[in-house]
Amino acid sequence: MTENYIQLPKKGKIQDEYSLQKDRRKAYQIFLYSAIGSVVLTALMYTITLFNFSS
Amino acid sequence: MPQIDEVEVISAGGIPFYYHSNTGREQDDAYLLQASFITALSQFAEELNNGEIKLISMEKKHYLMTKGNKFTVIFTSYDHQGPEELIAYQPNIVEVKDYLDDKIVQLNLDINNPNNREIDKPMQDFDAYLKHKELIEGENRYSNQKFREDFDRIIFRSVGYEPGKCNIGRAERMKRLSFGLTGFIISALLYAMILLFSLPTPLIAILIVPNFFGFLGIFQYFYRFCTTNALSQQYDMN
Repeated sequence: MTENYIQLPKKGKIQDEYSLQKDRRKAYQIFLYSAIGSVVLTALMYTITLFNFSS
Repeated sequence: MPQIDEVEVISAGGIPFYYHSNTGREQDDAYLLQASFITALSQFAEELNNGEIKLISMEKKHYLMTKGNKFTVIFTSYDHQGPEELIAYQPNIVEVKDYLDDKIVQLNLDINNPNNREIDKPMQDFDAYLKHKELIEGENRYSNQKFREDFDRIIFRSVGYEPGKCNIGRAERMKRLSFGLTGFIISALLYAMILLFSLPTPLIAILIVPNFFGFLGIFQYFYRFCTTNALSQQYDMN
């Protein structure tokens, strides 16, 4: 007996504009969160260092 | 001669052409389901030699198919046209196959790539050709682009991709996690160096870069979402 499988592509290109828009929005959101996170963390490191030096 | 209810062209990469005489009267999903069924039919087509014709009857539908160089053409009729009537289309299906074979060679078309927008125009011409031959009628051809987009959605749902929510699978998430952790490790090492060698404190500002990549990796891991894929219009559910 032969068996045939239709393999769905796990990796692919997105054509649909609606999906693309949603993806872009989410990507920008993650960029924004990362930017805020990095600024806050760096500022914290800077403050801790200043505090350590001054004490 | 009665017209054909459905005409499909299947290539290894997808369905470049799909005509359905009732398009517009039913829900799109019904056509997509039908299209998936057609994909299953392509398994039968694999057994065909080039130019050979096969008739298959399943449920209340009959399928006449033949194979070209890089594709299979299928004429479908519903029960109101019996298999005998469909067999009468043998010369037509051969003619249609030859037309497409010539067109592919002439235009050097990559019909196996379902994302290739270059096939849209030739498929519109093919639609006109079928009408000219009085095999189909009306403006019922399912828009090639729309069909591809809708079909993509079905595949997306099946593999787990959700627009704006999840575009990477487990293996890809783990890569983002390592990427993020590497960012934070680099940041920690640089910070240690600044303190150890008593470098000027404002140099800490450069840590914003590895910190940014650290957060980027971690957020991508937790959100199950890759920003690069999103901006390059891809998904990778591996």
